[in-house]
Amino acid sequence: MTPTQAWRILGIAKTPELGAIRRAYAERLKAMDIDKDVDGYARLREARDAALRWARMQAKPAMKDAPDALAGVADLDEAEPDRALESLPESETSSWLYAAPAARGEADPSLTTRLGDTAPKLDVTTGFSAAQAPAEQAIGVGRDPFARPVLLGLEATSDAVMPAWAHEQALHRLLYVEEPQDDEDATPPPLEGWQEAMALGHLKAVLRHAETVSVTAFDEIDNWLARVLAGAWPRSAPLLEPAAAVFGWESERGQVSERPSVAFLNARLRGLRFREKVLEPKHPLHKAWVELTTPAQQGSRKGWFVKRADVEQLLAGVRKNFPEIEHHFDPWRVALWDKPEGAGTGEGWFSKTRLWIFAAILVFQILRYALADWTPEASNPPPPVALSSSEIAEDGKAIQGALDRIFGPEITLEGLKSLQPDLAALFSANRTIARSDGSDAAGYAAKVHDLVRERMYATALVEKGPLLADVQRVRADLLRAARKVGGAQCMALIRTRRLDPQVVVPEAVLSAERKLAVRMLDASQLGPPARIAPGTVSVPGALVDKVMTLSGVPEDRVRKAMDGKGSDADQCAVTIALIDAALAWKGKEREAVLLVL
Amino acid sequence: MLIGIDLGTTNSAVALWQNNESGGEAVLVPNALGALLTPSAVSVLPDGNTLVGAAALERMGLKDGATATSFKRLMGTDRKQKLGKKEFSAEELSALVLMSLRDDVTAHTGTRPTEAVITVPAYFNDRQRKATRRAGELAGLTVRRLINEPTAAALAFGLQDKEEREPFLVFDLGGGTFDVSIVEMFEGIVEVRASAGDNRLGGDDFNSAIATAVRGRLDPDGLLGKIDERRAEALLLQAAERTKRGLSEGQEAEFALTIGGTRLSTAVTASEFEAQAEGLIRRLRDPVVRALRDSQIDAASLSEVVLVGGATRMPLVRKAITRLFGRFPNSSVHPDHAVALGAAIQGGLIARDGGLEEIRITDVCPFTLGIETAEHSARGTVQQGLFSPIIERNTPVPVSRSGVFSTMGDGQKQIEVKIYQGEAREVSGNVHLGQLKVPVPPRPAGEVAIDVRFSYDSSGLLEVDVEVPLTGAKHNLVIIDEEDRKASNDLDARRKALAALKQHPREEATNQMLLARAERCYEEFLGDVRAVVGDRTRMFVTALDSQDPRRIADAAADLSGLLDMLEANPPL
Repeated sequence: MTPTQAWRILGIAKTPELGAIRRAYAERLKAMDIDKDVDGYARLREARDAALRWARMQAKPAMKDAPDALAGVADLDEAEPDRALESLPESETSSWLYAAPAARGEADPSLTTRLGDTAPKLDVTTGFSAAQAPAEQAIGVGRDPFARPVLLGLEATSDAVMPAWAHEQALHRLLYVEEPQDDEDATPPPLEGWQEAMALGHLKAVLRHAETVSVTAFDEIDNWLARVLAGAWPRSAPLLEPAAAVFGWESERGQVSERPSVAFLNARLRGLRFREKVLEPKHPLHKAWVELTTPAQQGSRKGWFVKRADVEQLLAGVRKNFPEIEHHFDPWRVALWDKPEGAGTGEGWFSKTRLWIFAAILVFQILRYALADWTPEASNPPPPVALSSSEIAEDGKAIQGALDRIFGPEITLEGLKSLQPDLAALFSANRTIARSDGSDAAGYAAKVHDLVRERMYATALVEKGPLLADVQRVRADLLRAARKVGGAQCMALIRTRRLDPQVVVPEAVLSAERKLAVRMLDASQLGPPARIAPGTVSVPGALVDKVMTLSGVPEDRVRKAMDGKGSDADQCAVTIALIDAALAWKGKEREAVLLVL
Repeated sequence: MLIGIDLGTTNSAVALWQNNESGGEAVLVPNALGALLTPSAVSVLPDGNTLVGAAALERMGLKDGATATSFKRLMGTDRKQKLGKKEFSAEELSALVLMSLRDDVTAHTGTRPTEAVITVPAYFNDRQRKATRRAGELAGLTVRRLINEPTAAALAFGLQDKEEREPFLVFDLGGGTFDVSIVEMFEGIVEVRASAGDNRLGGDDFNSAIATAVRGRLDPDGLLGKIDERRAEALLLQAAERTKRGLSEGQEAEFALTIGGTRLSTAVTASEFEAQAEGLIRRLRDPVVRALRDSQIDAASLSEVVLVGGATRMPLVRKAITRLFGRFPNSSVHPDHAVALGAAIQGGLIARDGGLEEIRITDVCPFTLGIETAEHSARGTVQQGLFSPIIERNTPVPVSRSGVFSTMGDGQKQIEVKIYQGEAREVSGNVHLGQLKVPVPPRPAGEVAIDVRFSYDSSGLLEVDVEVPLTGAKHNLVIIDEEDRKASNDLDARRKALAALKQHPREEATNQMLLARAERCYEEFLGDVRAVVGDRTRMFVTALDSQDPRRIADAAADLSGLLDMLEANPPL
């Protein structure tokens, strides 16, 4: 609503007088039946609120103390939409402090939000401003905490010696490691014993203080502490329980209005508790936990003494309820146990490959034993796993057929064995599986083709450079072919990296793919795929424009599709267009975009 | 005639708007015992007659007490309570209390009231509100409006001096519910900015806290374990209530009860009570913070903190409030009367009585309203049972908002719109209000959208309109839940059944009260004392039978004198 509209609805001339606005509102309200004119009532309220905001803003420059500065922020945001838009992303990032390690070493941005943007800028050295602490204390003690280093946690922390804000500050300093970190992603080290004890001491003082202050101050401390603890995770883990108990964070769990930082902490709190419980040997899932957390190496087997049902229960339970503690598990070990049906997600395809490799090894062993046991006595029936010669010939034909399709006739199974033995084993093993499944040669070829494509794609993401461009070019063609069948088939290829059998890939694309595959095979680039981690990238506006032209999808739907929302058809069209556009793009974002597609 | 009723957990009250030469005012109507508050208690006597109020409360600890209290906490549920041979739902018990209040007004004014404004906790959900409305109808009253208790209290508070008021906070801690509302008054407008609450927190919980704390040391021989569990609990809670009142005056109070002639007693100190109630006190903060957050008002800029509800008399609660707001609360309104008076003022406004210059009240809807949806999770599975809000909590009402939702399955033929109320992200944590099925043309997933519009009016009625833009089809649902549908069929039958219950004649209320009290004392004492109580009670009953007013009055004075004496100095 524009200010002009607001004054017109209220039926008065622009005035900074709050009383006049309220009077006008009251008159209009009494003249209407709000139950009959719901929209009119909503408009009238909106007009009144806009007018009051405007009037308060006129009055504001006169008073500049802290509470008004706070109220002013809300006013500004709503009254001036342009400005509100500009300032929004800023406050967004600061409320997501824990996602932004870059904030380390600078003033804690959560403090900025606690103060409001119009409050005096923070003193970087202290992380606190005068408005943050009760004014008289801040002035009395001085703004520089270094002047009294003794107070910063090395002595017994008594309220008499240390004001509450100093406790807050000391806590903040303990939680945020100051030394610059080379690696942005490196997690800060956990608190050492003495640090933990000190942090707990300061936390207790902060909590004690919070319990004695008014609700507004309590609420501010609540917000601040939630952001600080979330931001310093996992360093702040030992402080979580006592803080959550005082502020009742768990009662907020699962609420629509749950604050993001509290939601983050609540998820971790439950994970922490579950982990504590499962670490006790008495816990029914303890063995399963130990199994899944033991690092596995190439050739490791599943533990013998663990019940499959327990492991599955633990894995499913953790994934459903405490996804944040899944990182304690060893991914290879998880892959050993993961059900093949788990495919279809980022991790699923990975474990599936591993399973097949293990299946291959097992089958080889069974065959070896079978051959060793086999004696040429006619009376003995041949062991069930032995293959008739015709079957062996059929297998050879099927494997070669697949190799022809994927690499071209010049590559044989023997040749593959010398170039990339694990891939050759994969081909054989899948043939065995295909036979037991009863699937035909074409189905088998399609399956191994998917696996090779997966390896090509995974390698390209690691190698980057021209190889990435070549692989993505082929991939775009495949997606186009899939789209001819339907959006769902196209999205299946993107999500699960499986090409639907109905999709007909043009011969030109297949031959280009073959050349690329042989090239990569020669360069030993078709080894076991590295894990493909999902990533995000910001796409430049010009590129978005190109995507719109190429795909013919309007802007809002393009944005939605890039967010992973919208219909399959849109998402597919946008992905293809984005690959094409990025390949033709000269800017520096080219590779980054190609890496996430 | 239109009356205002405060239907409370512990006590209820009725008031009406009276015009007079200086304009008009809301006045409370006394009950048959001359008291302005009627305990919300219902008892069924062995002869099948029902008793409401103080006399019923007296019978609570008796062997065959058959008394129900605090049934407001069960409003909106299917739970039934068995009293004597009959089972009663919470709304039927409430209806009996309402009938008794209605009769008080009839006796006081000579006219039988037909319409009422009934108050409900702001944080009552839709189901609880509907149950309250039905209770009114069962009592033969047309419920013109349900008004939120803190809003009613704010009206009573604001009309004391009719001044302009910057936002103030109404802190309403009753027997069973807790509400916080932030209200502003200007130019004859009473504007509720936000409400929050806890409909499971009240004075009753403080009684339970005391009872839990003392039970072990009070009863080392396990005497309480030998009697009927319900009765033991009633005795404990009654004793706790007395102790709580004692602690409002001193630093220490006695916790005492008598079973079968044995008197059990122990002392409770204020600090012990405080430690025991710490968890309850802590729960007071949450709704306050929420209301302040939602209305974007700083606690420091509140002009007043107005206390309503009997439980705010506890020094413990006052101390906590003073700490929460950093100031002393305002106790200028009567904590037990304000809500009923406010309801009467609202009644006067509805009837557009002279003497009330025009006042408009605008309220908010304290709960979030929305529908159930599903979405694709990060792991590629479909997560069902999610709650998508349409009207956010603390939106001014009446309000009309809409949201757009689309199909999830290919060729989906219908969409089931399930309507919920609450704050949880998963619908399982919210209250189900109703549902409607909307047929849609089969198309690929996501290609059919529906437009769901919620309209919430000022008396809390929710209407849902669903439009399918693709076909132009419109569907409408006025939320009526299961109980309502059932109720409309048999409301008449239930009303007749309730009316058929013989109520004790009003004029006998005082005598009934005395009899109940005598009965209680008879059970509490043993030996000679018991014999004396029994003797005097028989004399009183004989006097009642004689129907000679003078004889009755004498015998009553005699008996009540004896009971007063015994209760003041209990023989050990």
